[in-house]
Amino acid sequence: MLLFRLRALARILTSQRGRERRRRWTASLGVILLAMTAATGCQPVAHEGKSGTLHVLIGTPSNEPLTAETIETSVGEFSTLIDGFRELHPEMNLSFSVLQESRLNEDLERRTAAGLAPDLILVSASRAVQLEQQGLIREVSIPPEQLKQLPMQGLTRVAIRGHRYAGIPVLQEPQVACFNRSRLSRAPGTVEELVTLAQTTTASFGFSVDPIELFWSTGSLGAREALLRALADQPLSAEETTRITLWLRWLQALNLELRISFLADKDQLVKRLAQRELDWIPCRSGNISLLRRHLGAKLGVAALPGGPGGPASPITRQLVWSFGRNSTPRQHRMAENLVRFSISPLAQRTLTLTGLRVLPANRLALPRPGVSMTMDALLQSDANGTKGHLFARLMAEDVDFLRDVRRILVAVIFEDLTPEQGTARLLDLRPDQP
Amino acid sequence: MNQLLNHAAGWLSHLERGPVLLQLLLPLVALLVGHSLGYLPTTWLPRRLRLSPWILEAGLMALGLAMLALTRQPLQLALTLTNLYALWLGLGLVRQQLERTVAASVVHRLDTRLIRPAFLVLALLAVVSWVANLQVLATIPLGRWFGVPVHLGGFLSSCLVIYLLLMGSGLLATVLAWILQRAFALKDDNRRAVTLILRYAVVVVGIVLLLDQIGFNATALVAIAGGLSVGLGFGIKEVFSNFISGLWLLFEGSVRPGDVLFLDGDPCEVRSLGLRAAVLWRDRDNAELVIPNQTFFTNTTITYTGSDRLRRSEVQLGVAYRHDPTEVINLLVAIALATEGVLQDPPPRAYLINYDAAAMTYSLRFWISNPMNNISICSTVRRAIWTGFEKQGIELPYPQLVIHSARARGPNDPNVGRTPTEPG
Repeated sequence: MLLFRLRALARILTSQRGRERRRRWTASLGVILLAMTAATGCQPVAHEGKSGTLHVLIGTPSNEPLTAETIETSVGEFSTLIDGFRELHPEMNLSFSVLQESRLNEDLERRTAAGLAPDLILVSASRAVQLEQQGLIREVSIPPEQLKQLPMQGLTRVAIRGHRYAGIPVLQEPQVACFNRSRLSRAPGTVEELVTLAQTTTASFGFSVDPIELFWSTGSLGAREALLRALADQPLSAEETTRITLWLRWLQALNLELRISFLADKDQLVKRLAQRELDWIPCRSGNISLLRRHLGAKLGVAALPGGPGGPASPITRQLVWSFGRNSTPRQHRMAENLVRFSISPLAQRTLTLTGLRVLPANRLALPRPGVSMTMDALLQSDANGTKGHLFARLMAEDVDFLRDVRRILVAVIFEDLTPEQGTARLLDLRPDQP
Repeated sequence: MNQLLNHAAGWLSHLERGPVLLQLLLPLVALLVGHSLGYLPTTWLPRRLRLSPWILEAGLMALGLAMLALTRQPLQLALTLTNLYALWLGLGLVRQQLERTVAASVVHRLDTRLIRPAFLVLALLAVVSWVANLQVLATIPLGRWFGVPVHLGGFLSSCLVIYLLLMGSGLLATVLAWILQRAFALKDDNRRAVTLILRYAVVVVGIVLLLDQIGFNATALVAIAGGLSVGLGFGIKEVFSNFISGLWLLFEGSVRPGDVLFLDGDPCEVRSLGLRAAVLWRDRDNAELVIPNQTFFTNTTITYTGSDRLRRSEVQLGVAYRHDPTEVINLLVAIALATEGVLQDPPPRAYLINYDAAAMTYSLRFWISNPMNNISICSTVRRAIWTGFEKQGIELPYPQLVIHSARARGPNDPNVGRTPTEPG
């Protein structure tokens, strides 16, 4: 029976119709082979990590939809770095993409599952730790000679276990005050002066109800340590509790001022300062280039105001390079080349001094005070914000906790809760991971 | 544009990763192998082992995905491609189901103009979204047009909106026209005209709003319109003239889709009034005539559907002299009234119109409701007349010629040169 069937198959295959089908079959296989050849042939001959395309994803802290301006600002910040790197590796092509950090986990998870994750990701330190915990990026070890140049505080923020890190620090974006010089001759130095200016001048002041963006004021009001201890689930003394209440009372009192507005997030603050609807806001140094584009020389940058409790406690956004999981060994080497170049003192100094809007991660490249007023403000802000990252990391790791703190702050600011009630609620909160 | 090409070139570098290449080739190979195996002659196989090509393709794809999953390789891209293929097959099934209830031509139009293009666009976006952030791609600048910066996203969405306007405005206009017909008790042919006018209006307003949304300023639009008008005046005068004529005819209502026009002696129905030309259908030979709109604008047009759709038809016939005309006229009217397709009101009328050589000529005039049925109803009436006259013994004579032959005479015969009737 089998022999009969095979004979039948042979007869059909040798017939005219069979020959035609075989030709089609051969042609199809030929197309596949061609596709495979083309796919592999399109790749440049390996130069051990010196040629090819490197995919870089930049995370932006903004939650607003991406615009050409946002993308240009995000990528443009690295233009000097890219130019310098291309000088050294002319055969290497860099492909940049930008994504909101809030969408990063989901997007990276999706792309990693398809084998299409970017080779390098530039994100905040807290986000990098999160991504590592989800297994979406590779952990890295930093060579000792580089470790010596990086700040201990920055490394602590991305340390995972032992000498392994979620990313390599590259830049710092301190929180500062941005203001319109044509409306305010100088930025308020203290919180009391800020309130006085709001009462006596026509300048408008803006704040965000985002806990991370308001944390700076805990330093000015002396509530920073108390709040951090409370969130770490440590017992508070009566005085510490009072300090938190005073901070909340100050926030509530601000909202009663006619020329002080509370907005939902920092993106709206930046937008309204750019449109000259506000005259003073707390901002990120990363916003400076966008604001400078709209306000020009009228943009003033200063340290955030201190107060009776001491200097402000801004949170510095530490940007780190993280490595995607799907890169080939060659692509990974290319990525390492770029990272090594970007944290070299020369590249760091160029990055810092070109735009005067970020601080370098490399200690050897830190500018001296007096280079510019903006740079002085950034340096002062970075020096003051020594513990802010603990709060930021806590908030980034527990979204529900962040939402609860925000809800309490909004309720106090808009007088739905008294400062005392707000304090009690804050003390009742327990983050998942202290 | 360079930026877009750079991005696209960058995507290719993902092929350097083995798992990505594997995910791309896997569905392709499964498709080709399944397809080829499915079309190989299978008469030599036992019947239970013969499978249709798509089952083989789907089976091989599922097998490939299972292998990737088992070996812990990335597979989401392959899964997306497989899902897209499954969706494509599903659309084919939907098409088949639709053809059972909706006319095949409608399904074909829907399929080629909406379903397939939409699927291809969505499939492309689905694949590209794996390698790029669509929001970032949308912001790639394409240049400045009339001082307005144009980005890829804006450009593609504009193309999409224009396409949807052109494709979807028909349905929207039809629904609106139907509502207007109900509200104002319009006739069917008026509804068709309103549909076309609404469609043009939707497309024009849509495009103007779109340009406004993109950021084209009115001055630039006016400048374009000015430039175009000069170009139209010289270059494509005829096309523009036909377009304007078409619009004018619609507004005037003299030629509308559904109207019946008399063209070279034949009644033709207006099927559509397009931008450049009208399409008319000639019943006689089922021909479609494409007539430039300008023709109706400049030439005399005979229509049976201007104020109503009635047509007065006429049948002429000759009856022998020996029959009483009154009796014949009454019989003709009775026959017409009894014929299907002839309207009772206005009533048919018959007239004695001439005394001809061999017969008295009568004309039977009656009304019909559809001018396109003139020939068939006239034929029915003629058959009924023949039957009716046969029953009543009324003769339908044919022309007769009476010839009198004269005897041959000599040149001296006095009767030479006289007619036979003249007295001798």
